[in-house]
Amino acid sequence: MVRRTSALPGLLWLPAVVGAVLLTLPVLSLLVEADLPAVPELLASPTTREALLLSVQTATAATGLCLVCGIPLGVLMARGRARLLPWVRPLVLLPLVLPPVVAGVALLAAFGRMGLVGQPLHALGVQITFTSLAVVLAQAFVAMPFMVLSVESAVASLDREYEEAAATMGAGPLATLWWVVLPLVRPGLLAGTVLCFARCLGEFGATLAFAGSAAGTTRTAPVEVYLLQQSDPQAAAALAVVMIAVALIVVGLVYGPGRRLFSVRR
Amino acid sequence: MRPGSWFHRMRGVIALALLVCFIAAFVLTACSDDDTEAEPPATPTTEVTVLAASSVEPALRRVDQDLRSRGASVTLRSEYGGTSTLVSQIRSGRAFDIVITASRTHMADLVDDGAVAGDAYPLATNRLALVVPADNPGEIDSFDDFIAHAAELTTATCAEDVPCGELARTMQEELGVDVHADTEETSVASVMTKVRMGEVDAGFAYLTDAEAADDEVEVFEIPDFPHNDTQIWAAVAAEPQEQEAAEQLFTLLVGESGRTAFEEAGFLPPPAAEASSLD
Repeated sequence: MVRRTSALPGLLWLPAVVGAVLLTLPVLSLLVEADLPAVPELLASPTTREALLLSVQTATAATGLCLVCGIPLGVLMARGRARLLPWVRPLVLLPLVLPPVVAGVALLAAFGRMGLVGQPLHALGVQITFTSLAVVLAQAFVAMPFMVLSVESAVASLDREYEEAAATMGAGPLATLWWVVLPLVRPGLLAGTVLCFARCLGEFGATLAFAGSAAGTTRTAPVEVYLLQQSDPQAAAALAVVMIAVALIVVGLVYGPGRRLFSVRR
Repeated sequence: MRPGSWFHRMRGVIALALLVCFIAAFVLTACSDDDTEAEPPATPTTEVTVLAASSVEPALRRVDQDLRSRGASVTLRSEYGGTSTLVSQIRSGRAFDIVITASRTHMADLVDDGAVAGDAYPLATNRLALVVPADNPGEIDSFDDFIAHAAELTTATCAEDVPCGELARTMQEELGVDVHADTEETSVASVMTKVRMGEVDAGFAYLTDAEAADDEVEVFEIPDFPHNDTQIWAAVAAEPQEQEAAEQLFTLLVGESGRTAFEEAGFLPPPAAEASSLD
């Protein structure tokens, strides 16, 4: 194989280094500025622990929702033949590029007390806003596109021969999906799940607008960081460090040296 | 796009041209003033940046109108936010000329930090009010009625670190009541948003916010309790961008026309001279 690295223009380095510095400096600075030895102590405060616990619980539930609905969506987008699907795709992926606050306002328009679905629900005595369910919905809303995309691209790149072979051996569509397709796209599924979970943990804008902020019910870790920033910046930095650590593990797994875990073994 | 086609050969140039267009558009929008809308001012004006608690907006809007109608040489560029947000922004070095807080203690903090010049003045006081959406979904007919059913009602207050939240907490302590807040918002403005949208049955906001949203909300008075008001304080930055203009505007704010503007916006008069100290 001819090594082509030497063909890279040296000019690439300057903007590349500027970009890398821009992307890494803020997080590194936060780690330097934060009083790292005091982090465990700052995290011992009940409100912070409550927020972290709530974040983990809601993100887990939301990721579950993303798996249950996102996988079928992704498979249908990759293999489905319905005429409508190409039109559904951009709509389903829209939350990826939507400003989170807009997502929150949109969620209010749907599930708020005056909302399209929320109003009849409220008449039945069901309120979604200001509950942990609202947090889960907000997180699933912004995170599910990651799952759909991961599954869709994994399934689309799969050779149809496997499915056809399974079919000729008498496997029904459901069996083929469950025993052939899903195991083959496991790396994509795993990556999608991890990304989804991370996105759920980080959700802030939609949560604040749609679910509000009440300790123990809707005040997730990012919302707590925002509030602490105003009253106790040191504690905010400590909580931020924890969130960075989680994010680092996630990107390390999916995009870093750890990505081998997720690659297809042939 | 086939390799060798015109587009393929020129794609670098096209990308570069697009980039230049974007940058040019960006620079042009950033530089162009709104002089198409406003008439060219007769005298050159100086813009003063005022960071203000969101509750102060109706009063400052009146000050702004007053300045414009008189063709004053000073114009307002006001930016609103929760008082604690503003304080934390100032601490991280945000440039400004004048700051207006919705609490005395936050102003005292800023004076201690040396972020503002020594002389801070109280402009007005504000009271807490119980605000419900115009259609009153919780069928609340008084403050006592609200307290009696507070547990079943959906309620928004400010977070405790925000002045309006501090006041709400004082109220609960002094009156011995529990409002069972379902959400603690980061500024009084977002409490009002939740009330106006009808997402909550009731919210605790300032009297002035309630009056500003007159036709969209219904207001109930809260029984008197000790420390039932919050003070609006103003001060000039320690290092203002426009020293002279900032001081000019500050004089106006603490003077007669400032007082009128705050009064018209529904604020109560500032504390008496002997009580108006930061200590």
